[in-house]
Amino acid sequence: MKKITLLAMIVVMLSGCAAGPRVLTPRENAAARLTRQGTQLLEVGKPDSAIRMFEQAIGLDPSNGQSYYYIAQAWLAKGNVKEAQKFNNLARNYLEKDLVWASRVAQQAGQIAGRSK
Amino acid sequence: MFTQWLILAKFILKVYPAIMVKKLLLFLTATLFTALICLGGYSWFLSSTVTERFSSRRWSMPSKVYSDTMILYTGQRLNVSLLLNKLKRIGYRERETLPARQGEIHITPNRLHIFLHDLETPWEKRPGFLASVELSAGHILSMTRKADGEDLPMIEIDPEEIALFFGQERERRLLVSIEQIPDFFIHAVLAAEDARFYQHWGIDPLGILRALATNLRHGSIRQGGSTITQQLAKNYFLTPNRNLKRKFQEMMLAFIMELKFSKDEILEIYLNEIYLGQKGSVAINGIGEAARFYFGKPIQNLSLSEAVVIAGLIKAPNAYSPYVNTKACHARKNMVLKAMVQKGYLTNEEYSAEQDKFIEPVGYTQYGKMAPYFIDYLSNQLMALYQPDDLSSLGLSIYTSLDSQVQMAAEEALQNGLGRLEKSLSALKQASTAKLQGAIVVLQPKTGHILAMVGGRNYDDSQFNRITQARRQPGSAFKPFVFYTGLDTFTPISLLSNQPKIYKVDGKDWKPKNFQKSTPQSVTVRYAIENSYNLATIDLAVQVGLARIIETARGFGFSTPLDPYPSLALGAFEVIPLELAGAYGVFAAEGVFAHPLALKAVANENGDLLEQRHLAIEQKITPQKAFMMNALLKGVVENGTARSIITSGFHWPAAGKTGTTNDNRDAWFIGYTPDILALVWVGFDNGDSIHATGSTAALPIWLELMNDIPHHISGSQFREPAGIVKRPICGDAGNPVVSYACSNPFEEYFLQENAPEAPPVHSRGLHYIKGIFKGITTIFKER
Repeated sequence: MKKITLLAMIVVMLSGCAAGPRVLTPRENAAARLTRQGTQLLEVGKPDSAIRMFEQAIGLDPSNGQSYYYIAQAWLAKGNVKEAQKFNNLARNYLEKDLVWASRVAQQAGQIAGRSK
Repeated sequence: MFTQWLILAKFILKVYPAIMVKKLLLFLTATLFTALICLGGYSWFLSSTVTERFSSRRWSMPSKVYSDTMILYTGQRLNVSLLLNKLKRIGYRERETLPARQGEIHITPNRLHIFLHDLETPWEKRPGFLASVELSAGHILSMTRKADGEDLPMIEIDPEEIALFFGQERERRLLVSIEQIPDFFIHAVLAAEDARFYQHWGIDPLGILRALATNLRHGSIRQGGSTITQQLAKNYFLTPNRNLKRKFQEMMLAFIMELKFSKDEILEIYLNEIYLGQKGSVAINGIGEAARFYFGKPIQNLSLSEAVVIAGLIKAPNAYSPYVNTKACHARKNMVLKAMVQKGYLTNEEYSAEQDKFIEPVGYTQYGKMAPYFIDYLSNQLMALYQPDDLSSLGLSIYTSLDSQVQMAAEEALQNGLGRLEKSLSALKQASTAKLQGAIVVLQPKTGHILAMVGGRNYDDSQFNRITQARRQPGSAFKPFVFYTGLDTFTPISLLSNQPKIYKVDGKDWKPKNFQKSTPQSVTVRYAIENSYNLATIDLAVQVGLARIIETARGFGFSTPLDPYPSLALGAFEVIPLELAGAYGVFAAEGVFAHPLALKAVANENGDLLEQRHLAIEQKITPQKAFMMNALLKGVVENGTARSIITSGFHWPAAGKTGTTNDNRDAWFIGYTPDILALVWVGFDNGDSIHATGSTAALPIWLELMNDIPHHISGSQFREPAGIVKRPICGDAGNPVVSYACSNPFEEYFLQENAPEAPPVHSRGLHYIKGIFKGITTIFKER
């Protein structure tokens, strides 16, 4: 029995090496959904409602870096560069390992720097 | 006729001299003229009173305070009993069959059918619908829309009304417009109160005569002759006294109202004004509120019989209330139905169909102030924005961060915990004449949302909020801020002296001791914090510098006075519990301080947002240092003074610190996961000893609370940011060595900038190979 367990463990480890992107937990999924709803609100020009949605997403998944990025976007939309800067910094902390998002965050930082001049 | 008048005039002139008659006529004319002027003036006064009153705010509407909405999602862990209680408080009623209307639920062992209310917040409007929630072992397995079987990934449950800001009137009212009121409702009211409403001018002579005849016939007052307009005049402008003067005023006002307003306007005001019952100490006014109170639905959704019951209540709301006397209510309903037939509003067939229907009211929860300490805290913030009169009259909707389930769980955990302590500690019973107190605050560290606040054991006994108003010594709960200050130069494996020393304080000797009797003479930073050693902590504090610790404390938001004495390291200076919770929140939120937030938004009675508060953050410390503190405080839970959390079966990643002050005056536990933080304090207000420590008095309360609110615990680990490195450590707490050269090395975290050098890579490979061989040999040996 122990041998089978050991074999199974090795198989699991190997399959783990070949695995694709991490599967989101139900909680992370719900947070991602709220973030998407928030971006829709942002697109239709409702930054305050969008921020509320992103806050709900963070409540469910505190490491949801994309929500921080979008809160920064919402503050930019509201014309508050100082607040946007704070959330952009946070987004950078969370998304630094994701190349695509890290570049978006950097772009946003440039935008904020441009607006604060 | 004219000839007769002429004869009479000649006769008067014969009897009285012409001069006298002239004087009399003059007098009569002057009197009449004066009376007319007075009447005109009075009418003008009444008219302007009516105009002013009706053109300004017509009613004082209490402001309502709401909890946050709750999100249900597939895969969510939840406490089903807390959820059901919440739904019932919001007004959901349990049925034995599938819900047919909004606000109904049906529960089976593995399924919850819920007909959601319409969700109406300033941010979102969603019509209610029937949903089916599949449950299994405290999890949501799936959620579907019953109508079309569509999968629902998420459902938002409406916010819960947690308090009302009343004025002196203590009235509840939900305004409705005449367009929203079904015709049959209006017909029922007219039939019951004033069938000729659309024909008269405010006063109905025919109605008065009919009432007079009826009353004479019965020898008692059976019928009133007052029209709807007169009733409105009486309720709105006059005192309840019954005398001729008041009757005259009532008739004048009714007449003026009819001149100035349309019939529909008068009826709408009347239907929103009338008193229709009592919910505890609160009056139910207007048909909108009555429809909610008696039948749990908006006025548009009432059935004919339900509308008739409400119309019948106008005459004597408490005597005919379906909550008070179902028989009388039924009889009154049929009386109004009959009147509707007589007036031609209903056919005999319709009457027959309705007359046997017994109307059940929906049931209600007596109005009670929920989370009173939280509401007080919130009120203080609202007072900066609104005058008290505005809060009790403008009908504002105040949205908060409160999670009513967490609040209920916190209140219960505190009651249970204090009760247990009193039962188990005989010394406590004799210790003080005062009542043992406790307090809890629960925060979401990354958003700052205050989810629950329990400022004391019993609000009725004491309104002193021990979370926001108390100043108590934190004891060892302050130590993390000492260790944080040392992170630049000390690592978790740095050694600290744990030997007794004498310190000079204001010229006097101060000789601190460890709580434990026998302790090692030298310990690592990790071991010192996990076991809460006083001597090692003071050693660290003195080496780091007391002034720097004060600077750290200020940076973390402590506002109370702190002096640079060595006892500072042991938490000998008072702090405000909410500030202590906020400071720990910085660790939990990876270095970010999220300002505690109770008030989220304020909307006016039309739902327009007047005020909105968002997450406000400040990066206080680096994510790397926050992680180091989380790693150390996780050790407190896993191996240290709070290890009973793990031994009790709580298996989610958590960090925290116990705290006990001199003579056991205060017991603390502040514990957190990446998602939620709760601070628990136990003590006496007068500073008497509670004869228990943070781990025996406060920690069990924290544990009970956390076990009750699974929907707030994700089970995620504390995130490890870039800039953290791990090293293998061999040896014990008195002699740690960075090496793989032992059978069971453990991994310790370091800030990259002050990490010790890693052992050679080949030794690591060797260690792993050794480990694998060891594992395999064990397996085969066991066979």
